[in-house]
Amino acid sequence: MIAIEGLRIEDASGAAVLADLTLSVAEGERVGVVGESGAGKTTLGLALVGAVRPGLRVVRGQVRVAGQDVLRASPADIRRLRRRVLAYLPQDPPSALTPTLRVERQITELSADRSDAAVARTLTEVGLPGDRPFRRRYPHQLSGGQQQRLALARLMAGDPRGLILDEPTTGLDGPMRRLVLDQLEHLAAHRGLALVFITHDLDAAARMTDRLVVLRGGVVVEHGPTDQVLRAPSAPYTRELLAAAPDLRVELDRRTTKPVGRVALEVSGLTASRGGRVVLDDVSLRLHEGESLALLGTSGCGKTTLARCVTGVLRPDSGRVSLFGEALEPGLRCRPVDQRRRVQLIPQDSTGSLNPRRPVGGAIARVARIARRMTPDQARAEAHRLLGLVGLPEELATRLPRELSGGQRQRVAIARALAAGADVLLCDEITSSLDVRVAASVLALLDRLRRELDLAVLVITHDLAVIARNADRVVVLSEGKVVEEGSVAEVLGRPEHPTTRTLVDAGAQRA
Amino acid sequence: MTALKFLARRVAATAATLFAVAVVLFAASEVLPGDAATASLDPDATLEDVARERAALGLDRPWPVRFAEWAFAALRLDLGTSAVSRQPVVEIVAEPLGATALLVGVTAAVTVPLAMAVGLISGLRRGGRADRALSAFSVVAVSIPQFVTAGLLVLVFADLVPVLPAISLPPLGGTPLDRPEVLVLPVAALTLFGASWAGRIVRAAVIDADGMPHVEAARLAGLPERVVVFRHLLPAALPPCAHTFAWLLSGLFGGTAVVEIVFNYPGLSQTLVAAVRKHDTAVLEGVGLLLAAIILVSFVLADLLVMAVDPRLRAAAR
Repeated sequence: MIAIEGLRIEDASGAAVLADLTLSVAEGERVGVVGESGAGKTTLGLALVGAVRPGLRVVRGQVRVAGQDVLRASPADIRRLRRRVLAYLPQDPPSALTPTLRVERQITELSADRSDAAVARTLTEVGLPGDRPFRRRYPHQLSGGQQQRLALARLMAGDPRGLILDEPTTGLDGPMRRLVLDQLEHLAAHRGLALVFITHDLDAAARMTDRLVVLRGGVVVEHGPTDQVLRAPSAPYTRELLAAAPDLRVELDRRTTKPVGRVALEVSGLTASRGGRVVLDDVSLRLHEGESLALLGTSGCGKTTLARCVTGVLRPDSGRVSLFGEALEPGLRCRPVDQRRRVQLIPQDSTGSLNPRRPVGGAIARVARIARRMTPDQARAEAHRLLGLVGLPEELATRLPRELSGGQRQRVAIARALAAGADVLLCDEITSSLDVRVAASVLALLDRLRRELDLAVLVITHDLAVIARNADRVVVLSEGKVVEEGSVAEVLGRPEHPTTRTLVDAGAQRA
Repeated sequence: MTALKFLARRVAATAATLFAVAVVLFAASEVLPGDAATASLDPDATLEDVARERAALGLDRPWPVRFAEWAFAALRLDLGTSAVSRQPVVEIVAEPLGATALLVGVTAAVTVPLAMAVGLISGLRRGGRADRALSAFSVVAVSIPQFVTAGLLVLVFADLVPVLPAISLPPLGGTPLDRPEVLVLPVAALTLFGASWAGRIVRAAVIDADGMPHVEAARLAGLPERVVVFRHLLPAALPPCAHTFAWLLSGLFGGTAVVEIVFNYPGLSQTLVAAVRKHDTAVLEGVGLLLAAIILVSFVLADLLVMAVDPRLRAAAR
């Protein structure tokens, strides 16, 4: 069905994004493409439907889908191909839904048969209600899971024979990830779809694919039946990838820090609401010096709101936050610089928190100057020292954020938090947009810094692997309430609350 | 439900703004030297004459009383009486305001579609030949002062190729609509500037919307480009455009003066200039209030338009 021959795509500087790639996919076959970001996975996926991102250029080779040369086909043929033959599901499917169109319109604009019955059939096939009130809704009125399904149903409306999935599980919490994979598996089996499954999630690839292609720097480094590649990898790179993949059972045996130091951060009776809805309901927790406490919960349980209250960005309705026994002012504006600098947030994606026009070394030095009143020279020296501490070469100091990789940017964010002289680090899903290998190294760095500097770390995540590797104690949050608390071994080994159990079950499925 | 609530709040806020504008207008004419009494009398009138006149006009009462009287009358669309011509302000203003509104209306009707088209063409083909040509042209059109643009138009279309009148006077006792050709050159002068300026902003909005994931997804789903642009891209580009056009409208109402004077068009600017010269504060206050009301309403309409397009705002507006 798909045949790629010697495809070479280069960027503006002439570097190869895909280097003479050859690959074929038969009707109904399910092929996984794994590799880190920058490996050319998305470029490959887009090339299959005849799309090339601006700045990239096809140098040679061809892509044939159902007998058609898609890189040279007419726009009308390409459109037909994308609707009827090979559909493309982009990263973060909910964002692909046009917010101004009702559910019904999202389906009918892509389907040949626009009758009510056909729309209902398309919706029910992915487990969505096909009734009229539902079809009249707008995307923002659906839950996250429904949005995922709707994005899928939209593509199925054209009745394609194959589907390209670009990182369908990235950023999803355990239960949601499971729902999406179940749905995809059902759909592929039911319709006999050919799948091209682009991912860096090896467990998902193991479950969904028959054949696996390992891509690195635009080159296929390994290729074979999924079982064989995962059980007996031949390329060293594949072995590295597999070693970095999280395994809950092994990680549970690692040593943990006992909560013995002074209490660094104490949250008591915190209640916060947004738009009249209570998001945090009487939450209390304690974080000790040198300890790593994980805050676990599904998306939307109030984890990020808690972080916002602790940093002072959001003023809670009631309750208090104290640092080494000293109460912190509830609002950021009232907080003196000294209180601000000691609690630092490392965001999910630091691209947004780094000034795109300021070299990263300057960004770090600036914090040292303002928060710790260093002279410009001292601050510059401190920035270089911190870059070294987080494992980045000094030369990177003059680079702009966009010239760094995602993992490097997260290291810069950590260095910047340290530049402020932080006692408490709040890490909000800091690895969720990183590849397994990079994520593992960032987490290892965080662990080392915590031990060396006796930092208190609050890890906010929905990813059990992060917790298993990184945390000493776990607090489980569900609908704004603390529902379970204990050591990592207790909570992950013998989950008590239904929410925890769902999360742990979904996580265990990956192992 | 929520949409109605939002509308109510928006109208209340507009009313409050209008009240503030009324206070400022009234205060300004209080502070300025001279009032209706001095304006209506001969320059050689004695102080006693002035005092008598002030008492007759009620100007000797404290200002809060006079403000309340003026403001409440304005609610009934009674803007007072001009002390100079002894005519109701509404009567003095009605005809020129109509003429200006006609000029602004026709200009907007030409400018809005033109700016949308220019913005779409250059935004979707950014960097292309059409985009570069349009961009260069609009920068030039925005930077040339309007009296120069107007003068050039007269030179070309009234002098060199005399197809249109150089002076936009309507026939005696009629409105500009009785001789529609008088509108062409003033509208062209205003549109050149307006469409160039608004087109730049539409272009930026289109480029922003073009990069949104749902627009890329719509293209990758195999929808025709026409559908992608009109159904998926435009709704996302609309909010900044709607407010741009509200700005444009308010700019036109305040900014037609140069063009009206160049073309001798019987619009508000002539009335205003005369009123300033004669210290006719009642007319100035009345016109100020009317323009403020028109501008505020156009912003409310822009908000409503945006809400009508985006269902998320209807839900979020509380």
